[in-house]
Amino acid sequence: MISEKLNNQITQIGPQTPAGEVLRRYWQPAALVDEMQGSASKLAVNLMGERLVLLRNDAGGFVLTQRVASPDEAPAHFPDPESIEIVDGGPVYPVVEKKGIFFAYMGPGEAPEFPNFDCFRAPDSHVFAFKGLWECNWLQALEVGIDPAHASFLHRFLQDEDPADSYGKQFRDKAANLDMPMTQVLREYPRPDIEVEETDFGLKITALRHMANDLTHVRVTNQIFPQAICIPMSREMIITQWHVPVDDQNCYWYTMFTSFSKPVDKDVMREQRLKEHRLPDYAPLKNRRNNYHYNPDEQNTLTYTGMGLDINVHDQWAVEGLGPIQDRTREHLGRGDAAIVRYRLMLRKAIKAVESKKEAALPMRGDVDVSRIVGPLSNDAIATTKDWEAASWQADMQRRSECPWDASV
Amino acid sequence: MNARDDAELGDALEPGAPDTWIRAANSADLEIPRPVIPVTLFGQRLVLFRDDEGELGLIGRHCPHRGADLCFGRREDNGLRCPFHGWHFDRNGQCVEQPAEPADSTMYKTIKLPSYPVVEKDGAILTYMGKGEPPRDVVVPAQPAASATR
Ligand code: FES
Ligand SMILES: [Fe+2]
Repeated sequence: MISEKLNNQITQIGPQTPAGEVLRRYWQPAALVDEMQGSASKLAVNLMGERLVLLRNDAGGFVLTQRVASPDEAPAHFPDPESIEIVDGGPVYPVVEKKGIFFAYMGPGEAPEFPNFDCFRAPDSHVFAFKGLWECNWLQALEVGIDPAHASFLHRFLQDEDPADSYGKQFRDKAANLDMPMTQVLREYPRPDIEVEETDFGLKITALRHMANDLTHVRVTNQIFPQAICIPMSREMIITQWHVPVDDQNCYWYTMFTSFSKPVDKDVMREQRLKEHRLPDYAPLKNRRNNYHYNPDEQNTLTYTGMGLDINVHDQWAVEGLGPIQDRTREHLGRGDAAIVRYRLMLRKAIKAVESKKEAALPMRGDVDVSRIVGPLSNDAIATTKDWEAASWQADMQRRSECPWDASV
Repeated sequence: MNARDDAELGDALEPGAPDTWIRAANSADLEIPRPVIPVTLFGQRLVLFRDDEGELGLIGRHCPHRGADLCFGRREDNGLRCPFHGWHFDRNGQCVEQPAEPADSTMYKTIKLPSYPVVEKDGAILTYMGKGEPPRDVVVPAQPAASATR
């Protein structure tokens, strides 16, 4: 439980708010490259509580600036490019294109360099980007991503699918080197031990599920400061996902799916996700207004939520159900929430650093050489309990050594 | 059951609740395949359900862990289980299991949702949100409570 004052401080992101000022010290995903089609020169962008437009300049580059907006516009309002009017004399934010996403820097001073994470380092052929709208505050969206315990419940499948049909889907692959689907591991071992370690990019989160026969399932996920996660998806792919505020009560997830071995089949990936979203605002077709297609019979027999097999919908239901901004004055965190507690401390420390003008103390800022920040390691492995640590490292090193692009760490 | 004891998660009894039984819903509202419905009474967001043992429960709608919506809870035994991390609440709002917490944790014993007594009479589901003990005589009010909304 935290005070209302602290809850406001760590959730609100408009200009000049404490957390908003921290987020503005980092590159923020602003739009998918897919959205700026053909010769279009303008694209509406709603980001960090600001009503903006992405502009193509004469040199073929891009900037982000303010557009005229009426105060009653819907949060993810998406006006026709022709009707967009630019605010004269508004701020101009730098934009760069990385692996299918336009990133903008909305803070003061020099924008930081990009770290050398796998998603930025892999060739274009091995990275696919997509996004989706969630109708809630960005922090609760991030917190579900640094909560390794929920996968055993929220994403529980009462029956397992054939892992051969798992392409492009979370948790449907076999678990590491075991002949057991990941869904079965999660279901049968719901009480992970969780270890949280501060790193130069954020947090390393290790969930240990101690299994029968002295085996341990190790799942390593990461929080990348300030609002991204990096997690394994299958043996072939990892997910890097940013939770980006539209305003205080809405956010987009932007995901880069990065493949270590084969190029990503972008057509399959795009088609799987477009089926679940509408354009142009990337709002999910299953949502609060249609009860997420909740089916009580399915809840009895097939999934824990009764909301279908797409785990994104489960996460969306969970975080939107907490209200537009989760009331953390009523929460009761347990030991399973260790990474959430740790993250909030990091964010508060960063807020203090910005307030006291010690910006160099922020993660990945100051004189840190971010080009040396690689990985992070995100994987699932199964090992005999006493060597889980070495086995987890080994599994990742093997995947990296067999990779056609330079994934060395 | 004393309604006051149950208002312990910051849900002080809402001003305006009378010291009489009030109508929370009609019995017919729960004659659906999955008898779990949201009810808001005097500003309190609640969930009304019939559990697997056929008994009624009226408890806070948001899970005390991180706040998930228990209207989508799984009906199990004598209560509802939160689909987010599996915390199980009995029909009186008492947390009885936290299956993701370490096996030796007893935290669940200290976790209780607000809950209100429920009786069913003449096709109405009634609850008491006033001060002290509810009246012994259950009188069915003609109209739903002024603030009963979904
Ligand atoms: S929010 Fe209900 S169990 Fe976690
Ligand atoms: Fe999830």
